[in-house]
Amino acid sequence: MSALAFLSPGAAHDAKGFHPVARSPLDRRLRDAGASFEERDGWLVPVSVPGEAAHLATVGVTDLSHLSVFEVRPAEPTLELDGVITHRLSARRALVFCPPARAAAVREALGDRFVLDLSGAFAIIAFAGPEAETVLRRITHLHHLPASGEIAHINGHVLAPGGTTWVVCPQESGHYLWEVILDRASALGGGPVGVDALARGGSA
Amino acid sequence: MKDIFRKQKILKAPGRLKRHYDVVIVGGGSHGLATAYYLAKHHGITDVAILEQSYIGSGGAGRNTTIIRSNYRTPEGAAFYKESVALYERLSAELDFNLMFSQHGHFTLAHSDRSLVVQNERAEVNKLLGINSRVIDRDEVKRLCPQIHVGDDVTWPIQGALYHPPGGIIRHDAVVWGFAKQVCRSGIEIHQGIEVTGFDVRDGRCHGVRTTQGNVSAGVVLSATAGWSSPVAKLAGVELPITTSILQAFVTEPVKPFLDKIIVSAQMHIYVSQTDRGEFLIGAEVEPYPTYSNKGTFPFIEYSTRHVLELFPQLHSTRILRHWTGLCDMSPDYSPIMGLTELDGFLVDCGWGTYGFKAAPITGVTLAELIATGKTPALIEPFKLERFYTDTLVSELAAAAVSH
Amino acid sequence: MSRLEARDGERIDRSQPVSFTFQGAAVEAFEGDTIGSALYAAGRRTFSRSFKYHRPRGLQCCIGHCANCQMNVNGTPNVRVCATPVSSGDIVKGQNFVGSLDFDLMQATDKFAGPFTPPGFYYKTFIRPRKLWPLYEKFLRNAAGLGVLDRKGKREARVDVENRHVEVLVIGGGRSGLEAAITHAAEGRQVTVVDEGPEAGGALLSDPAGKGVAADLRARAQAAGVEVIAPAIAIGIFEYGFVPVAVGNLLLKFRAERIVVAAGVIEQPLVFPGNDLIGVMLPEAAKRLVEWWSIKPGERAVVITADDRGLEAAASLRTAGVLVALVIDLRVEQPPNIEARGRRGRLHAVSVNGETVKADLLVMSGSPQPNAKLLAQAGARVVYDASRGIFVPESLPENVEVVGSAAGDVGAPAVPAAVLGHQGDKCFVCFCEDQTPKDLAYAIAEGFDSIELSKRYTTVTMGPCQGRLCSTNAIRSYAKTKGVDENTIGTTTARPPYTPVPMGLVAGYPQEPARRTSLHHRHRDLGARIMWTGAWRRPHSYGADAGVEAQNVHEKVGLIDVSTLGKILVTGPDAGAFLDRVYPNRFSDLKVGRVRYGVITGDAGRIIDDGTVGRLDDETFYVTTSSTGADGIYQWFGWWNAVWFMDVQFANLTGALAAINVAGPASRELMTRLSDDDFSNEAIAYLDARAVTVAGVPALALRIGFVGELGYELHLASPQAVHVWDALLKHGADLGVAPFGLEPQRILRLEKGHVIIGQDTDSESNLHEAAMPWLVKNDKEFEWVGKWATQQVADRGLRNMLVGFESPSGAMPVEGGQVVVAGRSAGRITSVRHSRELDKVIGLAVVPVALAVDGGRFDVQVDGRAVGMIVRLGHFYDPEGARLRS
Repeated sequence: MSALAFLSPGAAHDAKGFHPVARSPLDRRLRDAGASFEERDGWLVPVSVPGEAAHLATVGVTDLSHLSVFEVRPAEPTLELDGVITHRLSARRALVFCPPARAAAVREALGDRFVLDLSGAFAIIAFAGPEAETVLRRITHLHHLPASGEIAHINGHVLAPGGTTWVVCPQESGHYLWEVILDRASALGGGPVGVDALARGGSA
Repeated sequence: MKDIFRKQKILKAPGRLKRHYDVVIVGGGSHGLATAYYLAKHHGITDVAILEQSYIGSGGAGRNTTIIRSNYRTPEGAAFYKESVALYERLSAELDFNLMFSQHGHFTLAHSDRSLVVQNERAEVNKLLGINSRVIDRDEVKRLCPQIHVGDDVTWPIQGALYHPPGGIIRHDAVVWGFAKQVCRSGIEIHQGIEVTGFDVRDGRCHGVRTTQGNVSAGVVLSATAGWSSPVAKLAGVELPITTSILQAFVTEPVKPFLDKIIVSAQMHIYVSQTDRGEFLIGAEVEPYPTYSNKGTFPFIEYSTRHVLELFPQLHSTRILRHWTGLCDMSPDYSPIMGLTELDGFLVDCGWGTYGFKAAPITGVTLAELIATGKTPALIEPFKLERFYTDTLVSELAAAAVSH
Repeated sequence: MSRLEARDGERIDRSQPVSFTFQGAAVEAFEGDTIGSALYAAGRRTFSRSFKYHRPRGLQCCIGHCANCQMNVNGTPNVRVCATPVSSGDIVKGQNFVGSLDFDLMQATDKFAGPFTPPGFYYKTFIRPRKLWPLYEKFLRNAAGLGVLDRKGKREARVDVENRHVEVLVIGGGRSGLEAAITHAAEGRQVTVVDEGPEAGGALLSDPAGKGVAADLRARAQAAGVEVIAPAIAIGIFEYGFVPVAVGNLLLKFRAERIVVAAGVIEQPLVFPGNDLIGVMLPEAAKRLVEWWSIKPGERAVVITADDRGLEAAASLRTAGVLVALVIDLRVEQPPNIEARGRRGRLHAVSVNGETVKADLLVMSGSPQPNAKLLAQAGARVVYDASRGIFVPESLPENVEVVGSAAGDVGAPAVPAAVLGHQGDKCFVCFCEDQTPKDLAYAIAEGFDSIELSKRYTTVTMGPCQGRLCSTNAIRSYAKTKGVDENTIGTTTARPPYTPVPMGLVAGYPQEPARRTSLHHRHRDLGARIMWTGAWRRPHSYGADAGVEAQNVHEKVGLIDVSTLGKILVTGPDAGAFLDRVYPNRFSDLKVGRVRYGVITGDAGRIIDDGTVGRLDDETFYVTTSSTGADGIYQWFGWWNAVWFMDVQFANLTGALAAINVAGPASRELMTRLSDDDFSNEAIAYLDARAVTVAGVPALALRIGFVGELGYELHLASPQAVHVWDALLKHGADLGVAPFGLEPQRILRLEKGHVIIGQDTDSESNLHEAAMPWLVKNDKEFEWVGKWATQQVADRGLRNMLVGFESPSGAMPVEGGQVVVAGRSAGRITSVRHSRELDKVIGLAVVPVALAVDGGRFDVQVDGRAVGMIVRLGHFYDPEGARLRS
């Protein structure tokens, strides 16, 4: 639907001397933690954070909000593609996650189903480490993953791709949920890490 | 003083249930008892029976958070509750029973600009009616209630409050027993442990009740059954626009006096006071689903304690002693439904939601008058059941969007 | 010093001394002691003063059930020290006395007050004169309560809350609980056991032979993969297998498929004169003093027991060198007269049928009652078994079972009528509230003759023990007085929590959800004052004067972050028809590229929300709602379509998209600096909706006019908002661009007479009386939601009207101020501000319809006096809308 082009953060481009770069809703939080950023695929991504190695020893928390997210209706058929994660909300709706570089290919593979680019709608907080399960238990009762429901008094989704835990929530609540998750993590000795550190240390 | 040495018969067991009374009151709570009291006192009507399914005051009267006040939003409501407060102030002496009415002031905290507007409106309505209410700022809240935390390091800093000096707390059981004492003295019968199972309805008129102890005919029947109002009315074929939900509350262990004010937060939907036994009494909003269950829920405990501690962090190690629930009959406009129904001889007193106990005396006075004279007193005209058909609701809910 | 030589199986570690203070003086203890045991070992016998009579009280239960050992520990009042492990540096003080714990002046009440203070005496006193009631009240309140709160206290220790899931939760890790756990684990289930003791074992831990059995069971449980958590106290059994458990500063919220309650029994006191003297205790207390903490509880003991537990206590006492002078087994003999005699509150002799035995220790035991409180609170019924003299739980909730002594499996039948000698005054049924059988009889005589009424009147069972030690005896006493059987009486309702639990533990974290837009930090950087609007954090204003911010919009150009607006996509072949049914006005005829204002009503014709609807293509509509209405309207649409099944889909885009409103005469110029698109009045006219690109970012531009000036509301992907905002501020600097917040926005919209739903309307407002009759389109094919009710309003005649007004005197009424007619409330001020642009006080008000004429006058209460206002219909500012359409 070209009428909805304005929905996609990825549709921004250089024009009239402007160079738009997309920012995560947690951008300021990571900045305050001292993160170093890089521009990747049109997004400012927190690639490393001071102290991340020590944090990962218990639980490292990072921001994956730059991932592309599509809502597709109906949920079936599920895409079987590398690096693409599907979370079924119901028979009629599913969320499809992928790295922004693959967004165009994924969009095409989805065919002519009803597809909405909701890449700007979510905050995605990912964490991994020996105490990751404890952190999860201290923010939600959801435990058969993936699951959707209440997380720290708001509605969201919990996925478990590879060895990491992803908490997906509305972006306007991302700030709040980051604060909650970091509170639990730091009480156990964990803390923020960059996306690269989590990719190395977290996934299978 | 000599009375305290002497045993008195405060509650008299009635004799056998008769087969006819001029007035039958279904429900032995504060409203049923108050109505009986004023029937005898103001109108000399004593051929009355109160039929209570459990023990007197076992419903809302024994479970509420004992707050008496008149700082309501609608002119009709505020005027009505104002009369009730005035009656409560004299009631201990009148009933010769100390109701332990402690009037130290009631605060409705405002945590946003929007809320201050609502409190202003209530203050303005109150002032026009001669009710003592005014809006105060944060500093004055702290001055009047030094124990409260007014810092900015909380989620919703206090911006001000509706201050209502006549607001107070009372011993709820004492109100029930005080009314019951005088009701018994007047010769009116209080029958406990008796259930009404139906009504004798013929030719558009209610002629009496059917009970677990046989049928009783009556000139007039009043249903004052609070949370059970709609099932009871249904037995008489009368439909009421009521949904019933539960309200939860808890008390803490008793500690020496710490708080003598009543603090309500419109934002956090909680209220807290300290009883004269030293226990903190904490309540919140009705559950957002209809139910007759009497089981409390843990989220209520989590929610209310989290918010109480924002106002009074000193209470963090004070222990919860007992947590209970009560039924609330909610009406569409959060105002009561009082008086005549389409069924002759059948009156209702319901829709009292979370605000019934404070209205007991004035309810008794006005319903007694209605029963005795057949005419609805002006003070309760706005609360007729008919208003839902004429679209003249008295909306206490309105802007506040929370019952209070 | 009563500490014995080291004994096998003692729970104290003599190699780890612990030191704390009591009333300022140092006390030496060992790791494994509780504060109570350490104090007892050091010679303390008076632990508290009773509530009413201030009688000295000593250790009675040593298991955390009674109220006798409550003290102030580190500032926290009412701590049961008998069950609280010692910590180095603890500061412990007594409470509830005037003078000292050992010499309490308030004890005068014990000597003198008795006859003057029967049950309910306060209901009969202090009634007159009314003027003195506050003074009496102060006295009564000061006499109430036990401990004193630390007024400056606040939360210090961190509390964590954790969710757990388990197949089987066993509450109670005594013999029966551990055996049940092992059995379930053997059947392949995942099992957790929680026990309130320092380790699992229950009653076995205070039995010399039992300690080995307990160790063996613990080992077998561990081998079977059972998780055992101790100390841990279940707070209650709630519906659907939900059991919160307190583990120190950690709250575990268990959800269990099956719950096994193995909570054991609660030992019961006997009722005889002097049963509250210091030195009178229950069997478990005596056993623990000896077996756990190696303490000799006294020199000479008497044991009076209705069950084996008392005999076991006697055996323990003998091993500690206590002379057990007399043992009475009530199953064998029931002496009619038993009296404990004391000196200054301490037991010194026991008289049985006239024969006196010297003793400083009396172990008493009535039939221990199954600990069914958790079950009763979860909905189980508790029924009296007369043959065994116990209350047994039955009709358990689904998936809950009870095992062991809690199920009534208490061994040999105990003596039912173990309430003795009602003679004498100080013969206590309820220790917490100092109530005797005489008091209960008094209540019954006064007419409070059901168990519930008599309990409420005497306050029996309402104290800290919540009926654990008094409920059974109260029922027996009541039954005896009324001459009825116990099983006809019933019990009072059991309520959670199982044991008193601190509010701080269950309150969890003080973090509250807050919604922030993607521009939030820009507002903070710019110094905005942030306020709450529902769950959103929004800028109120950016500087000291909101009027100045508003003027900048009139004169130059302002930016406001309106990302909080609800945004709902409505798409499909029936999209237009659907909107025609949920809105009073029409949208199916809206042209592509146009936007229209709409208000939603409920079935009762009440206004719910407002917003705009833009048509992006034939089947795609873009609906905006108010900031706080978004979730509700999204649900509203879905709910109605579940009824109509139209071919339409909805998507909630509220968070996905940010929205920036660029408003003011210089806004067009600013837009052209950031975009190659044509922003002329011909290309984008008032109420057009156009796809544009701003600073490289695709956006939907809605030309709407809430604030009354030329402006463009840009809807774009949230992650790009900061870039666009920064670009607007940078490239509009020389145009005088400045951000403006909610407060200046309110002034601007008020100048245009624009309504804010929820401020100028309430839950009773309807379209006619909110001055929006033009939205009512009754010629649509299908009935729109609220049509009938709205028509009723027109038919019955309007009663009041929302109108604009100005204040000729300049006096400013408050929002909420009352419109007064003949001294009574007849309406209210809904909005009011001072407008710098118009140099007057303007507002909106609900007034009686008769007064709703342009130029009409009405009075408002301002500071207690009536002040006149003038009605103004139409917009105050730019009534023709020339500036909007420029």
